[in-house]
Amino acid sequence: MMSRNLIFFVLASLLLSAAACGKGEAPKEPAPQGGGEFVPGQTDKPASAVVAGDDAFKGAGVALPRSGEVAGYTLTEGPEYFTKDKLFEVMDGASDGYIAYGFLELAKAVYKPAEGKLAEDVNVEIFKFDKKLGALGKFAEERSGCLKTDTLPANMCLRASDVLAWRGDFLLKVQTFDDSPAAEAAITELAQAIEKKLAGDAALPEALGKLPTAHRVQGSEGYKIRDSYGFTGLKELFTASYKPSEDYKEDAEAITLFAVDKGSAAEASKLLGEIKATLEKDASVTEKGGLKALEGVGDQAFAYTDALATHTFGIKGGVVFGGRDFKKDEDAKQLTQTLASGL
Amino acid sequence: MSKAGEVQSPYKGADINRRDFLKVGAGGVLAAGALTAGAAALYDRENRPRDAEARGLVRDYSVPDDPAYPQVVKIQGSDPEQTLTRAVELMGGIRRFIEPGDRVAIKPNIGWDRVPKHAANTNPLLVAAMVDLCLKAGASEVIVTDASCNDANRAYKNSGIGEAAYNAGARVLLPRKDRFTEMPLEGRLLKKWPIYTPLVFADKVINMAICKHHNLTNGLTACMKNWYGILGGQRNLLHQDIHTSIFDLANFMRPTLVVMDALRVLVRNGPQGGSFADTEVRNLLVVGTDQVAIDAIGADILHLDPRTVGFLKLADGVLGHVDLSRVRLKDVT
Repeated sequence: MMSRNLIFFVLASLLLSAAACGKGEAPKEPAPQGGGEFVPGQTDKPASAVVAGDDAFKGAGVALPRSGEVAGYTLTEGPEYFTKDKLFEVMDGASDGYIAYGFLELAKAVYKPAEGKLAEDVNVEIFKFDKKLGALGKFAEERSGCLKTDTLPANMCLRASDVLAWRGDFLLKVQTFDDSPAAEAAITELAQAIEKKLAGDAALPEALGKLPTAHRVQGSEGYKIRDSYGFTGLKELFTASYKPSEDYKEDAEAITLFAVDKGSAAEASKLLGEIKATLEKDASVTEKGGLKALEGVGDQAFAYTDALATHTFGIKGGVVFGGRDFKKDEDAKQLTQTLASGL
Repeated sequence: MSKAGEVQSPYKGADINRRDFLKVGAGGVLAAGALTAGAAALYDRENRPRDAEARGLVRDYSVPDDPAYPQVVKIQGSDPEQTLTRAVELMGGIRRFIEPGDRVAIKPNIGWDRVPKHAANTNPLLVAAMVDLCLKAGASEVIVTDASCNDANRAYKNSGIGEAAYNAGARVLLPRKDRFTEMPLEGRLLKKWPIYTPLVFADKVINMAICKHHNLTNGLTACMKNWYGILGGQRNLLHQDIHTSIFDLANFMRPTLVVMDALRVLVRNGPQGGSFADTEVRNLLVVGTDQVAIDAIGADILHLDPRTVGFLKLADGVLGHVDLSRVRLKDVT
């Protein structure tokens, strides 16, 4: 009885103290106010839709078409601009991925297609990066399932309802909610018109030229700015995909070869040492026989197999190189040898 | 006894440990009171912390566990309404979770200006089906809302959720500024943050997430990450330690029921997507009460090892179980 009274006493003290200090108070539900509810057909049109004047086409938005500039497309919203500190307002968590690649500015606009062209509006986004590698890297990261690769240039990827392209420091996205067969041609036409206006060129960086050309998947070149394949410090890689035989028929089965210039043999050796140390502690690797030296490949190289495939690493001078997802040991040796020879 | 989610003392099940109570009350009397309040909470079965490791304040909307029913149901089906209805039946029926008169808040993912085929938002037919179930169980009001990342009007319209939920009888609230209030969470990272109140001031809260790729969270976003939609303010400030913030939110929000939509899955370029080519039809639905176990299934759906996902590592054994052998799982796939 006494202890119960004591608890009540102390609890009462708590409540009084909390009230006095203004701390620990239960937050109150805001008083109900009218409005702010979604009603189909009434509230589902953004009130902020603004079409800006010609002087609003600047920075990343310079290449955005004015109303009617591309036949059949009327500007209905924008351009709107978002800098690094505001990008999260457009894409929340995805913004960090762009910022990592050196994102500077996004220009966005919405176009209404003429009747018969597309059933839905088209959203156009142009991202400006601090350098060309940023645009290429983000393009390569997002590229997948590209259609018509034999007729479209390698810096452009057409999917069912969107086009992704890069040129100079810019990444272009043209998206519609219409996935009818007619949409492909319509968005390709619009994307090509915008892509031509982007400053700069779409020539691949020289470093990618050092990767083997035989068996390379057309338009598979990329640049990875962040830590890759689970290894800290393995970043700023130039990459390309390879299909050396029928064993690698599907895109998802392709081998990736990569190289990164660390600036000195000492730095390259240090990174390779760290990668080795990580792998030697990895049970999924040790269970499959651990690291196996690849004799005569670069200055030093090895292969290892994990639960999924065989992978390689090596160094030559200041360059760290390797390959991912080999299905056969002989492919690993041969392609890594070819890669090392070209460096 | 209070209804789940009702605020009596500041927070239900608040785990005020010795370190935390010092943060809550600086003054001597307050500190003594807080210590005793923390101890008293241990005597209150309803308010008892689930696990001593789960620091921080808790909003508990859950219903008591019943060993007669599974904690998680994994089910295959292409019809959203039928599949959800069957899954909820297997969980013991909607009346196990919703009582007549309950005010229910449903939290789908309505973050993105995308259509259902982009699989960036929760399937609108699933949301409508859940509204219908709750109303049939006697809910006095069902609110459907989310703090969208993109323009809310566009996201609500193009996701199809605005219209579907409205037509099913829900109040569909837009994330107006005055609906956010700064609230203490006292989590590991989230100490105090603007919180979207319609999702907090309810008797029951249902988390209806979509399972998809996310470029920041080791590749997965599903139920635990879906609680980011209760946050206002500059959410990007939390991205440096996103796993801890996700853990804090899932600790804070203990839902009545969790639904993970994996009918169509965004497998690349998440969370916003934008290309139909980045989606795959999986026709899977997972319903349950263990949000950690459900997210672990989500990781598997995306071919990820759940033990490598940071927020699941933090939550495993604390808020739920990654190891599905420790969960009453009914797999009807």
